[in-house]
Parts: sequence; C-alpha cells; structure tokens
Amino acid sequence: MNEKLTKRLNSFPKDYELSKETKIKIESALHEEMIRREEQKKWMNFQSVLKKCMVPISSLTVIAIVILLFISSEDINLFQTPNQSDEMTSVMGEQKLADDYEKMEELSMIWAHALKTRDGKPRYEIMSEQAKEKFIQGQIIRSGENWNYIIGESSPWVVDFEIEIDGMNAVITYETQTSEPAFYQTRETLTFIQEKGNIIVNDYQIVFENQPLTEQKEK
Amino acid sequence: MAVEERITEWFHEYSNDLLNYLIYYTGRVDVEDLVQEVFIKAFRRFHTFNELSNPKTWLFSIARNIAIDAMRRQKKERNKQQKLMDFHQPAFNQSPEDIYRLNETNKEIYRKIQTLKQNYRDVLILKGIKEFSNKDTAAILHWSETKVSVTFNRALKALEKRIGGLYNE
Repeated sequence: MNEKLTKRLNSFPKDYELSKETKIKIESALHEEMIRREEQKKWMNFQSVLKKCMVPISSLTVIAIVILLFISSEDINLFQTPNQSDEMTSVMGEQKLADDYEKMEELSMIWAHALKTRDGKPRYEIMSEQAKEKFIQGQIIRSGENWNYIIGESSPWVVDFEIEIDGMNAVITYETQTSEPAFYQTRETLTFIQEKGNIIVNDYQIVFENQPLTEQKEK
Repeated sequence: MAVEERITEWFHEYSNDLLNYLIYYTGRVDVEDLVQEVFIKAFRRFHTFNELSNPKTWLFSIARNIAIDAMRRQKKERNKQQKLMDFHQPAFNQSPEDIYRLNETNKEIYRKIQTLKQNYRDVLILKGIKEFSNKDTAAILHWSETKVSVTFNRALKALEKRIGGLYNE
C-alpha cells in the first residue's frame, strides 16, 4: 500500500520552469550581489590596511605637527600653563618699568648735566610743550625777549649731583661751590609723562637753592 | 573555479528543481523571489559549503530554511490583514494544483499533505514528490538516514489515513 502511495507521489509533475525573463532577472540580481560583495571585500581589505597603518601614520603626524610648531615659532611654549602666562605678562610689565626707570634716569642726567654746562638746549629738547612754555617764560624773565638757552650761574657752579627716581618723578640734588671755597646744595624735582610712547619732562620745580651744606645738614 | 562561476553554474543546473520544490513546499506559485534568495544566500554563505558534499542537497537545505521563513512571514501578514479582509475579496492566486494541472485525486493528496505536521511534509515532498534518496533527504534535513526512513513510513501512513483509499482510484 505504501509503495502504491509512494509511486503516486513520485508521479507528481515537477516540470514547472522559470521563465526566461525571470532567469535573466535572477541572474542579474545575483551578478549585482557578486559585484557588491567584491567591492565590499576590497573596502574591507582597504580598511584593514588602513587600520594597520593608522598607528604609525598618527605617530608621524603628531611628530610632524610638533616639529612644525617648534620651527614656526620659538615663542610658542607648548607646556605653558595659565599661571606661567600671567608670570610672563608680569615679567613683561616689570621689564617695561625697568626700561622706564632707565629712561627717566637718563633724562635726569641730561637735565642735571645741562645745569653743570649751563646749556639749557638739551633740557629744552626733552621737555613737553607745557614745560617748554615754562622754560621760555623763565628765560624771558632772566634775559628779556631776546632770550637764549644759557641757564644757571657762574658761581656757585655745579660740581656734582645725585639723582633719585621715585615713580614718575625725579629728585636731583646738586652740590655747588664757590671759589672761596664754600659748598652749597640745590635740589629740584622733575615730573615725567609718557607722550607717544616716549618719556619726557612735563614739569620742574626748585625745592631749595644754594643752601650752605652745613645748614642743610642741620635741617 | 571561482565562487561566482560555481554559483552561476549551480543556478543553471538546479534553479528549476528548486522552483518545483519551493512551489510544493510553500503551496505558493510566486516563489521566484525565493529561488533568487536561495542563490544569493548560497553565494554569501559559500564558505560554509563542504566541498565533499553534494551542492544540490546543500541548496535544497538552504531553500527549505528560506521557505520556512517565508511561510512564517506570510502567516503573520495574513493574521494582520485578516480583519481587513472582511471587506475585500481575496485576489485570485494560482495554486500548485492549477499550474501542475493535478487530477482530482492528486489535488486531494496534495491538500492532505499540506495539513500534515512539518516533519511529514518534509519527507513526503523531498522523498515522495521530489524523489530524493534517503541519503540526500537526510543531508537536506540534517537527519540520519534511519530517521528519514522511519519518518517517511509514518508520514505515508498518516497520509493514507487522511485520504482513505483515494489513491487506489
């Protein structure tokens, strides 16, 4: 009985076929899949090579960037911290103050030396407009409208001077003498200002003039 | 021979065989997409193919899995649309019985096979209708040959019971 049924099952038709169009369609889909797979494989190989090269390439890139940074600017400090940056600003400020101090000292020297040589021209050249006006007025009082640059007196004459800088001011103490010989002191103050990046004398005042040295010491 | 060439060769050799198997197994006629899926899957999983085994049984094994998945999907879809179907007449679909022009007896036998449990359907279609040997059927179903033989006999008895003496006509 089973044999009969088996034979009956065996006799079932199995001759249905794919149409030509369907075959072509499936083949084309299969072909596309093969191409896609091939491209995927190539991409994966490329990625694998890339992965292997990644570490050396990144290391080289980092090294190159660091070298470039060092070459392009010597001022760049890669290990600079914000505090260090503040320090740098502070150092730069201190440097400027030192430069200003030196400049004021230099101007005071010119100022004092001018009295020693009795030539007011170097003083005039380091004055602000306001100070120049004061100088001119002083010289007019001294020698009339046809004023000149001669300053100071023939006696007592300046033999030495000391300069003290305090902020934007300078105190100049002159030691003067006469032919007796008698020794005196004269003191004046200078006030400086910054103008267009330069330091110049804006004002000057006599504190005391030709005080005998002994009297000065008593004071 | 390259994988691509082998798959193409197998396609020409076995596509119609697979088509007939899938029609009987799923009870559907529009299984061309499943045939395509079989070969694409075979291409993708070629590295799992054992060179010593028969490519035909390997392809049928893939086809069976694809058919089971498709039937599962179809069943889910059918359940989803069941309520909507109250207002729609089902579209006319050709059945395997139509395309093979089965006589009334074979139609009935085939319908009864479709009502049997999966194990029985597997062996009846592979060994009965497709005429695979015990060895090939075992390879496709990943069973032992003994299991194929025993299950086939039981399946025949179950079928016989359902159809009565119909096949004697």
